[in-house]
Amino acid sequence: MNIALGIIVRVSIALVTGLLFAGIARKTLARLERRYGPPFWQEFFDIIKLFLKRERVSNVFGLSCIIFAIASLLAASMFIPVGNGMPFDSPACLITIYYLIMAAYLAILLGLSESNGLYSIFSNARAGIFIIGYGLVFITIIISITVRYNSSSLIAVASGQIGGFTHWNIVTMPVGFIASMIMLHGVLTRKPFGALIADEVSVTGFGSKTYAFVRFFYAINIYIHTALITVLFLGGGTGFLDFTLKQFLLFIVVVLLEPVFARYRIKRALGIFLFMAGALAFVQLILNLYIL
Amino acid sequence: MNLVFIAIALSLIFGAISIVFLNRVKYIRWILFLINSAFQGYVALRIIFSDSPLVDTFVLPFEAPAIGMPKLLLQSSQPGVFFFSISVFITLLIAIFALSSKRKDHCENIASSWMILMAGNAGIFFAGDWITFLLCWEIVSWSAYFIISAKNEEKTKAGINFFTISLISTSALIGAIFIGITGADSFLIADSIAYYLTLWDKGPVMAILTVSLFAVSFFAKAAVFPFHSWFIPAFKQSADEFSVFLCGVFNKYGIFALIVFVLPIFTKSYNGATFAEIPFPIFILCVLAVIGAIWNAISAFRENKIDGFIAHSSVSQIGVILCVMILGRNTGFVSALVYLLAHSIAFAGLTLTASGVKIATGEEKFSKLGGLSRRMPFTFVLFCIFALSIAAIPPTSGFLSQWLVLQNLFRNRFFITSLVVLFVSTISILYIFRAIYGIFLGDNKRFSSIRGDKFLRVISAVIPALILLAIGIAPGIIIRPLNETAQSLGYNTIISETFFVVVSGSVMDFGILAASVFGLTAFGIAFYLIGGRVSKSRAAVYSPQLRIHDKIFQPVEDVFSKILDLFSIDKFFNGIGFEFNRLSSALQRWFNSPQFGIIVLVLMIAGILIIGRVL
Repeated sequence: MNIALGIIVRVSIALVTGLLFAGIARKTLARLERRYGPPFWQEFFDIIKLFLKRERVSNVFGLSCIIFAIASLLAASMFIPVGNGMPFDSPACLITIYYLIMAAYLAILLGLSESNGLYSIFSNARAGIFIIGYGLVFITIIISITVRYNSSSLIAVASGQIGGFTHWNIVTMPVGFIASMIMLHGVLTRKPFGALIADEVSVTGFGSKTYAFVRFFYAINIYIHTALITVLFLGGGTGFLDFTLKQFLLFIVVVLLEPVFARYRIKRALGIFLFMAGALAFVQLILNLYIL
Repeated sequence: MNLVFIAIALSLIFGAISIVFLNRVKYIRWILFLINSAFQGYVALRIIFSDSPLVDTFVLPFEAPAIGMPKLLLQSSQPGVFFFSISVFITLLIAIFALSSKRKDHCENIASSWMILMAGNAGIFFAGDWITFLLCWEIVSWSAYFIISAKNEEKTKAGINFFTISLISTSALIGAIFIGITGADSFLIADSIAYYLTLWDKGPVMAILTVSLFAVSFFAKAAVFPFHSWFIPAFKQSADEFSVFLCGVFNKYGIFALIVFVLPIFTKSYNGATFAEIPFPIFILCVLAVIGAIWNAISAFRENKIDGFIAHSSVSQIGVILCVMILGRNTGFVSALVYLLAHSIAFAGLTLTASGVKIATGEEKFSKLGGLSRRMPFTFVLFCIFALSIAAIPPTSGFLSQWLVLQNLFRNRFFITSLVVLFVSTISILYIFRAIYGIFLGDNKRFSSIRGDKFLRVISAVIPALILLAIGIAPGIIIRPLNETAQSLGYNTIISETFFVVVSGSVMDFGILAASVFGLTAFGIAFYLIGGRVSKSRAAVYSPQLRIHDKIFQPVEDVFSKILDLFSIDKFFNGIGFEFNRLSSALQRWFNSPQFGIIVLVLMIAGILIIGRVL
């Protein structure tokens, strides 16, 4: 019963936080561009509106893939220690989280590829290429962290940073943090990596409810990656509010940097992922292996 | 006479009968093949559930110089039973699959040669002496050669390629065996292994020579870098059924032999150089396996044909398995065995389903396939399960094996190797996406009339798919028997209950993981169904003839082709072949003039004698 309650609470937190952050991003970007912009709760209204509409097309495989992608991301979020703990008695292994995220990405790619959009496959192939870049950076960061703590458990990582700001990995592993911020930029599909998963192309022909699920996916994606970097580099959190505030800070930095950049072509974006973020993550790995 | 002898004899008899008598009723050959596989399956089950190990001797009815009447010894060992069981299980699936097809080319001599191969297969895993082992090793190689090159010129080229590498493999193996037999003064494998263990005390030269010869032989058989070049053309050119065998069973012979003959040489008796606490020869083998894994992972996503991506992907993961197995400290060995089992079943299943697609459509390029999810729904779902297992997606057994392997590598601080393992599985996401989309999704009106889900084909793939899922959710069912295999070879075991596993202090409940993924998916579907009515009509306009393009991943290919184009192993071997060709032509020219040839020969012999005398 406690586990079920824990799961429901965690799912709710992930959805609400993700949608809230997405709404804040829209509003912030609008203000930076001297527009009024939608209210930050607009995302919730959009989702409710989409869910209340009748579905026109039934694409069972595409829909199942999208739901499986959301389920995988939510399952991954269960393994991230937020504040006081987690729904399961689990060591919160980074490996499990990584594979669940990759499962989610593969599923969303397959799901969106089944849309009626004429160019959806090209959009999703670009996204697939980008996910490889993201994955290569992420695995290097995972191994750097594992080298430092001699464990892939997020609980060990969070408890290793107890003792104040100077113990946080943002201070002790700054190169890795920069790499992970570039990765965060990309994985949240913010410029210069923006719109790699072009949802307006990919979801053409899907019903409104399915599109609502896709919006859920992006919201949980925001939640899970900000939560991960909070635990990996910002010492996690002692409570829910503390943790969410750190997540928000990370997210808002990414959003504020967005207008500075132009959108990159896919080849350049991949190059930056592999040869800038990847190289930085690798440097951190070497530092952790042989110097720190 | 024990069951294994009967199984071997039956395979040989069935093979001979089908070659000699069944030329006009070739379809019966596959029925015989099924009976033979079923009997071997029965033998495997009897041995698994038998209390005492199997030992039996068979005396050949003739005398050989110096050794008298040769005795063939068969004895069961835990690794042998494990590998034999996998091979028989996969062969049984292939036999069921083969019966579903009535194409003419299925009933060539493949089934006959294959039954003879199965005799060698049993012999390799149960051999107790070198004569039996080498005999069976050769039976397997020759039969495989005939099967690979059964049909047209392309296949013959692939067969010759395979045969050349097999020749290298066997020559190296004979060299290593010769060292063991002369040192131990016995043909028994156990005696030779005991002798190999003492080699480090007698000086490193002979020990390193032995390890090198074994490594060349078994790496060639397992299709590990730099001897992987035979596997890809053989896989592509073989009959569909034999491709399943190649990636599910054939490349495991080398791994089995490596476990039994080479790894014991590096136990406590090793006193040579080390690198990061790893014996240096082991380190070299690991580097080769890792290079092969990366190389083939990148090659796999450059492939735009079904066969190509499966072959490269299989070889890539074999490299990873071999590396983890060689480094098998603590619980690494059991992890590698789980990986190996998952690899065998997943790739066999993937090739079976892919073969079903090829038979139904006659196409193998992704850009020409597509839209088959509606024509072959069962094949589609099964293909997805196997592909997801290869990409290590939870909760399949592929994820279980990756988790075990990575935890063990982390524990032993093999971080660069773990980076490679993660790299290989990350890259696999891309080619799995291309394969699933390219074959089954999108729309392709060309195949609108196909109904390709044949009952036997589906059955042959359902069983391994269920096993993969069952192992991924409840790993205890497989880890406990594998622990016994590891224990018999002196390795540590993994603590495991039905659903949870403990490796190096890390605990994982795979039951909860599966429940959370499936539960949340079910919750999502229920959430979807609440509210507005769902119209079952499809959209009026569906993407016309939308298919995946060959160059869809061009940006990634551009990045990685720089690495791949640096060096070509095929060109390297071609270069060696070319030089041999030149040498033989030169020798031929010398002997056109007999006097000159004899003078050169005499001078060479004199030179060798002088050098030998001086040294």
